[in-house]
Amino acid sequence: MHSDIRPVFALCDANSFYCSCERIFRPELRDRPVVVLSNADGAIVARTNEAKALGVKMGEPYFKIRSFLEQHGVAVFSSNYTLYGELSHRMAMAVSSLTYATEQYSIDKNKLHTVDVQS
Amino acid sequence: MNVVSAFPVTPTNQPLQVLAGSVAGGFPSPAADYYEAPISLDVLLNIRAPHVWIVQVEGDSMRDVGIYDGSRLVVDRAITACSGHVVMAYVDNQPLVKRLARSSGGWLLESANPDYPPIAPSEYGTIEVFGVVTWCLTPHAL
Repeated sequence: MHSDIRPVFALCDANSFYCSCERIFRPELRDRPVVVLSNADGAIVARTNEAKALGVKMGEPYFKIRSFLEQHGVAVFSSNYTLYGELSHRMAMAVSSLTYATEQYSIDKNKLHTVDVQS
Repeated sequence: MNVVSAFPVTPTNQPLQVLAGSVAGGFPSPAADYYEAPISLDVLLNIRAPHVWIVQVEGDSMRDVGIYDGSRLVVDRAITACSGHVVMAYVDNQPLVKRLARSSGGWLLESANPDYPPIAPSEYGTIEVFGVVTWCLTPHAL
């Protein structure tokens, strides 16, 4: 029997990571658009799908769209890096338990090493 | 009983010695037969797992199961909550710690203190169980 074993990589990427983190301990946010702001509340650094659908752009300065966000009931958060770092670590741990090697290459992205075995 | 906060957990490097034996001058220790490996509370409570959290609670509604104001609870999100479990749950988006009981309309939320009557499904709108309480840590002297 001849088999080819080829390395395959699975990329695991969290959706709207900072926003998703805020939603874990606040279930009431699941029904609302959410954005998270950068340091000193300068710009948008994370948006949920609902916020994207409203036209909110990544990196948009907060002061420019502040009233727009209020009008549309968007929940706005200053960044909470302690929370995001903690959840990033847990996610990386969970993902690394699935296969023999993983690489965490950003706060919310993990590369899983696996193989494709064809015989 | 209300949830006050969830803590990130850092690993401990210091296992605890449950039984210490000492060897004097080469003579085999009579304690050697009774040796037990040091325990790690991290392992015992499973708090290094990504699905396990520590939360601090306030209030005395769960006093009679040994959960007190200021206790830290170990909450495991990977256990399927069943009737009889003490759980942390978001009830109308507020985090509470209660014991689950089955009733015809849904979960009945029981306290462990006669001053707190059970909360019937008709008294709340939404419930989402966050996790099952597996351990309670209560300080006795600080």
